[in-house]
Amino acid sequence: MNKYRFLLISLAAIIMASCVEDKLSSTEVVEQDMVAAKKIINTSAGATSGKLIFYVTEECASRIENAEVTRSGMTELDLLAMEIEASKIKPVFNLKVNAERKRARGMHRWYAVEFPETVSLEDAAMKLANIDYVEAVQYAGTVKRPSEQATEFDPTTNGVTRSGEYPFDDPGMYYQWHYINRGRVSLYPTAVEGEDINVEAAWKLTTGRPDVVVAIVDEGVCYDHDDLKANFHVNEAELNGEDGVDDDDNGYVDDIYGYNFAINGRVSYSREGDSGHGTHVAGTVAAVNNNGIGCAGIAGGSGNGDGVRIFSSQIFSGKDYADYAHVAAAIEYAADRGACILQCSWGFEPYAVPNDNMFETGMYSVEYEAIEYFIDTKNCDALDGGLVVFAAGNEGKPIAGYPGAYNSYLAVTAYAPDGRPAYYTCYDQGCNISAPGGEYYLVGGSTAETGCVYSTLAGPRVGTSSYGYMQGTSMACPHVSGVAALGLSYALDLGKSFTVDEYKALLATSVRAFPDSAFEGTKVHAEGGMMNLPTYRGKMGTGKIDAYRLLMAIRGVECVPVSTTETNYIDFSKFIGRDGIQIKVKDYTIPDETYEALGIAFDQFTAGKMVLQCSKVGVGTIKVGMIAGGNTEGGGMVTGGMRIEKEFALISRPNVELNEDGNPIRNDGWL
Amino acid sequence: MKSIKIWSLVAMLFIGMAACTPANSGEDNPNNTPNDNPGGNNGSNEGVSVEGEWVLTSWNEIEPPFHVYVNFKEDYTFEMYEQVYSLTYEYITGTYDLDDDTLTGEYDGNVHTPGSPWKSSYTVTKTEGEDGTFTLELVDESGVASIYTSTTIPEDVKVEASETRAVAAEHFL
Repeated sequence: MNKYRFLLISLAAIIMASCVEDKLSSTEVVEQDMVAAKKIINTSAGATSGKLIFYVTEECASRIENAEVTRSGMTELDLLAMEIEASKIKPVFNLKVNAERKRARGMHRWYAVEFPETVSLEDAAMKLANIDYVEAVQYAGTVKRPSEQATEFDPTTNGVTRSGEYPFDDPGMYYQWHYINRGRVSLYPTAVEGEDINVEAAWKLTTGRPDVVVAIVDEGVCYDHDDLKANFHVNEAELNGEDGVDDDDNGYVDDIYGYNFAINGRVSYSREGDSGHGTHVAGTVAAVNNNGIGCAGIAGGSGNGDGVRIFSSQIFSGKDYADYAHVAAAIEYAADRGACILQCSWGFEPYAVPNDNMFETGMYSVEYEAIEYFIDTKNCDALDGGLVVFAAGNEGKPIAGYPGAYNSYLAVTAYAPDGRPAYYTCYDQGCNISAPGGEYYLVGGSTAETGCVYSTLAGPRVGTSSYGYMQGTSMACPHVSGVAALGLSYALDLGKSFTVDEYKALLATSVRAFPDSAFEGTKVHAEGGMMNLPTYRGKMGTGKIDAYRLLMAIRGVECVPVSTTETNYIDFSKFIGRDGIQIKVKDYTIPDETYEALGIAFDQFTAGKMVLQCSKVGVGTIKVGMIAGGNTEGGGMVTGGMRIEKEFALISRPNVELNEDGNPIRNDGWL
Repeated sequence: MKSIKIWSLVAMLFIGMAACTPANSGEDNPNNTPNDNPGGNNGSNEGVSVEGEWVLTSWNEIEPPFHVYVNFKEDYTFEMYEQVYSLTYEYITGTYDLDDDTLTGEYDGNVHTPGSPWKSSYTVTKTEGEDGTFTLELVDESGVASIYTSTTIPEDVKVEASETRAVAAEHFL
C-alpha cells in the first residue's frame, strides 16, 4: 500500500514539476538557476564523488526525520533521490546524544545524501539547490592527511638518561628536548638550553588529571601502546559489551577507544598507509610518565594513573580519509564523549579558504558548525566550553591553513631546538602561538632526526618501533594541547574555572618571546633550501608557549602598579612579558567599581598606551583587549590574529616610580 | 690590660643581650606557629617587636589579590616573599629599624640596583586576637593601613622564590 502511495505521490509530483517548468520562461529558469547556484557554498574541485551535504529548513528536517532511510518524505527531495538513485539520506550529526541542544543550534538540519559515483556531482548539486527548502549545498571534499613521516627510534642508543637528571624515569626524556632542553649539541648542532615549553617547573605543581579529556582528531591512536594505554579514555559499556552492538546506544558501535570516522568503524592504527601520526601526537599530550619506559607526555601524570585522558576521533585511516561530513561528525563525537580539548594536527591548504567569512559560510560550513558545537560544550569543571587547537601548516606560507587560521581558534607555529622558526612552518596571518615542532638537520650530507620531536609510534604491531621522531606543526600543536590540559588540571586543583575566551587569553599570553637573534641571518635546512629568518620576525604568534607561566597565570592575577600622584602611561604589553612578545593592545574596559575604587579622574587610550590619572589608593580590575599574533584582528574578510581580553589588577599607591617612558615601574618590594 | 678589655666586652655583651631580648622571646616558642607570639609581645603595644613571620591579609581595608610574606628577623634584617607585580614569588631582603612604634627599612641593593628605602615609614600597632593570632597593623604616611597576620611562611613559597627560571625573572627591566 505504501509503495503505491509513494508512486502516486511521485507521479503527481513529476507532473506538477513538469507543469511548473512549462510555465517558466527561459529568463525565469536562468534566474532560478542563479538563485540555486548561490546556495552551493563551495566548488566541486577535489570533492568526493557520490556524496553531497545539504542544509534544509526546519520543517523539512522534521519531515525527513520521520521518513525512511532512502527517502526524505519531502516530494521534491524524494524525486531527486529517485533520479540520482540515492542509497542513503542521513543526518550529518548524531541526534542520539544531546539532541535538544543540537536542535536548538540547527544541527539537525544538516544532511548528507549518497548516490552512485556515476551520477554527475554538479548536476545533482544544482538540482538539490533548486529545491526551495534546501538552503545550502556543500560538496563533500576530504581532509588531507599531514605528510610527516616518522623516523623510528634506534633502541641501541637508548639508556643515556642519568638518574636524577630528569623529573621522571622515562629513558626517552633525554631526547625530548622539547620538554627540557639542556642545549645538547649531540641532538641538534645549534641547540640552545631553555628552548622548550618550560614544563619541568610546572610538573612540580601538576602532571595532569584524569578528569581532563583530550580528543585526538587524527589517525587512529595505538590504544594498546604500553606508554599510552593507562591514559586512554575507555568506553566501559562498549568494552564490556557485545561485539557489533551499540551497547551504550550512543549511535556508534564498539567505540571503545574512540571511533574511526574514515571507515565508519573501530579505531585502527595498523592499516596500510598509516604513519603513526595520531599515536605520535597522542604521546606528546599524554604518554604515561614515570613508568620506566619510553618517553614522557606533557600531561601524562606522575606514574600513578593520574594523567589526562585521551581518545581517538579518527579521521584518517590507512588510505582512507574522512570527508567533510565525517570530520564534522568526528568533532561532534569528541564533544559528546567528554573532551574539553580538541587536538587537531591537520588543516586545509593555506589560501584554500580566502577569509574568515568564507570559513563560516563557505566550503567548510559543516566543520564550522561542528567546531562551534565543541566550543559550546562544557566537559570540564575548569572550563565553560571546549578549546580547539590546530596546527598552522607545514607549507612555509605566510598564512595558517584553516580551520586554525580562523580568528577564534588557536593556530600553532613550530620552532626548532635552537629556538628559531622551523623551516617548514607557516607563519604570520592567522598564527597565534608557537611551540616546539622540531626539524631534521643536515649532517655529513645526510639528515639527522634528533632535532625532531620524540614521541610514541604505533609500535611493533605495524612493523615499526614503539617510539620515534617526527617534525611539523603537527608536533607543535599537541605541545599547546598538552600544556592547555596541564593548565586545566592545575585549575581544577585550585578550584578555579575560566570561560573559553579567558583561557585562550591565558594561553596566548603565557609565552616567552623569540629573541631577536632568532630572526637574524639565514638557515640552511634539511631539504637543502635557505631560510631567510628576518621574514619571520614578529610573525610566529605571540611567542613560545610556557607551561610554568601558564600555571602561574592561572594561580594569580597580573598586577599593574599605578601612581596616585602622577599621570600614568601604561603599556600593558610590558606586563605580559619582555619586549618581543607579539601582542598588540587595542582597547580596554574599566568597570564602574574600579573607577570608584581608584578614584579615576581621567583615562584615555593613546598610541597603544592607557593614560590614567587616579587619586585613591586601592585595587581594581581592568580588561584589556589585545590581538594575539600579528597586528590585524581576524574576522570577516580578514585572516588575522585572535582578539583576546585579559584581566589585570590595577594597584594604585602614592609615589609609584615611573620609568623614562612614563610607565610605572616596580620599586623593590611591597613595603 | 688586655684581659680587662675582654672582660669588659663580655660584660657589655651580656648587658646588651639582656636589654634586647624580649620577655617572651622566640626561643620560648621554637615552633613558630601562627598562634605563637612573634616578637614576644603580649598584646600591649608597649615595647612592640615585629620579629617573626607575617602574611599580608588586608590592605586599605580589602583582601589583596596578591601575596606578601615577610620575616622580620632578630638581627634587624628581613626577608620578603612577595607575589605582587610578578606571577611568581620573589625573594627580597633588606634591613629594618623600629624606633618606638615607627617602622622603617631599606632594601638591599644588588648588581643591578642600589639599595633603596621603603616607600614609607609605618606606624606599628601589634594586637592579639581572640584566637591567639597576632596581627601587626602598619599604617603608612598617607594613612593607608596594612594588616599582617602571624604565620609560618610556606616552604613551597620559599622554594618557588628561589627558582632561578621563574616568570618573574623576565618580568620587568
